[in-house]
Amino acid sequence: MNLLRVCNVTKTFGGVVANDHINLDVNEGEIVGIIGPNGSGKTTLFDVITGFLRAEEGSVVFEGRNILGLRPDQVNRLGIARTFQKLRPFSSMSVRENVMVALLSHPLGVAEAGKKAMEYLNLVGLSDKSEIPAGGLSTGQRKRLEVARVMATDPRLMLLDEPTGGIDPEGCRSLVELIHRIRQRNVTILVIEHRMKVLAAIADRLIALHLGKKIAEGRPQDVLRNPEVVRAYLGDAYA
Amino acid sequence: MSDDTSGLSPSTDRMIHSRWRVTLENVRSNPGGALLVLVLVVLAAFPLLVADPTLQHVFIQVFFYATLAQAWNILGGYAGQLSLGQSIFVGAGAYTSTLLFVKAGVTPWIGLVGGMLVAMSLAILIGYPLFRLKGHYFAIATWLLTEIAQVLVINWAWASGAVGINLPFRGDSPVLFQFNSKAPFYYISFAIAVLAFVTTYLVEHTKPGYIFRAIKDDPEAASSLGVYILRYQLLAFMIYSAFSAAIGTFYAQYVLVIVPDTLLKIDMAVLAMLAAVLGGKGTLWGPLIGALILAPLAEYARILLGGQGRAISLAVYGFLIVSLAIYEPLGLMSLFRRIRRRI
Repeated sequence: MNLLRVCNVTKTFGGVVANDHINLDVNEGEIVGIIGPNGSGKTTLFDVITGFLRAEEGSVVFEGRNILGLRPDQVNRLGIARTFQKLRPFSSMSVRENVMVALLSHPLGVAEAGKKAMEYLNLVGLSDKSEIPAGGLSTGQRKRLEVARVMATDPRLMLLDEPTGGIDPEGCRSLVELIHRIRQRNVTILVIEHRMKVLAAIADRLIALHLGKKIAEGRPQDVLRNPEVVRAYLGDAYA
Repeated sequence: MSDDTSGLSPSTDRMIHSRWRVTLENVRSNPGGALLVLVLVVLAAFPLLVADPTLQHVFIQVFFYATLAQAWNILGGYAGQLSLGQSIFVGAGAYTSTLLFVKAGVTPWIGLVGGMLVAMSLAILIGYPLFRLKGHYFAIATWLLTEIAQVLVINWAWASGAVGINLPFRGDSPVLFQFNSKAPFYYISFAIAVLAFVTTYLVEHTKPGYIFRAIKDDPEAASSLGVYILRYQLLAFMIYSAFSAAIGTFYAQYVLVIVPDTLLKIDMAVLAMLAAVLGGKGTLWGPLIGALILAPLAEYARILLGGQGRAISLAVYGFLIVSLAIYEPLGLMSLFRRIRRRI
């Protein structure tokens, strides 16, 4: 069943077309990967879907409802949660309080939120760090904290922006495992990722962007061999 | 406890003893709470013990600035919105109650509530467009609004414009918020300051407190988690404006004269912010500690040095700001915490 449908979305910054008539569908239960070289418009697309940027053209339909033009908090309340490429923990707050913020914005008392936050920290394996300031976590741990935080908003669709960026191979493996665990909780995932190994391990389908346009879509092995995709990443000599 | 006087059963006796122990343990485990009780008792007894009106006046100044600093702290220290527009709301409180009193004979007690309502409405009107501005731009805009407010009131003939309003003194009348001695003013300002303190405590321990801090740390991340930022910014702004207005009405009744030239100036807002920052912004005790240091400093500089005192106290503020920024950017509270950890 279709969960998210992006139709003809166009977003420009001055003269630069960051998203050029992009179409894509995400079905319930899927993990869809988005790839593309830097500047191809991946994060812009996430910003448009989650209400941080307003597209000039097109529509974004989530569960049958056009969500284009809604504020980020409204989009989140409808069931779309996102992480950021650049990590954004609430650094002055403890790890547990970080997750509590997500729970509190969805009606819940402070005491309950404190308890429930621990469940999500357990899920991502950070329960032993719950009381330290979030600013004191390592990059890998911060990524997990972000996942715990967005999971606490109880999303139906999760947008992950480079979840393995800046993480060592060991951390990568456990993140892949975490993504699988999230999927088991009936969360559909759209993920921007640069590590092809990670994508091969998790994605059902890949979408490749280049200079704001969708250039390929399909099974991971097919998309990664697609000559246009290879050219976008490595140049003409390799295509 | 001797047997002949008490006549209590041994079990009651034990209970009393254990309750004592519990209290002492509480003091040890919760020094903040014990300190609070101690401070409250000392401050409540102060006017009974010290009759010197000058000293009472200095403490009234402390409560005045403690309230302003605490209000600033909720908005700036917890929610991270740096406002310099506090005088607007102090003025809204002072002018609302004074105009109601002078023009319609309404008691300033009702005027106080009216002033708070006016200030909160203003906060929504101002906050709605202004919270689109981030960080320093918001601060600059609130500063400019203070200047605009002053110009508007100076040209407001019905409210006596630049001349200001003298409140008629009707003699010692609690109903009319007018007193012959300083002690009642001491207790009223004390009560308002305590209320601001309690409000901060409540904010810190309830949902708004968590959301405020999240917004301060990263507003975009907060909104991505479902927080409607503007709603909470406005909430913080309203709490801030309400306390500023309440203490503004108090100011008008205490001084019995309000003049736009002194009231609607950025100075008051700067001193309040400085008190909060000096003590420790985003902490419960910080604003009170800052006010305890800065308000007497300003007052004694004025008393000792007259007109030149203002320049001296400005120099001292400058010195405090610079040394704070270098040695203790998080305020005196973080210094105290470090010392306590050493002990």
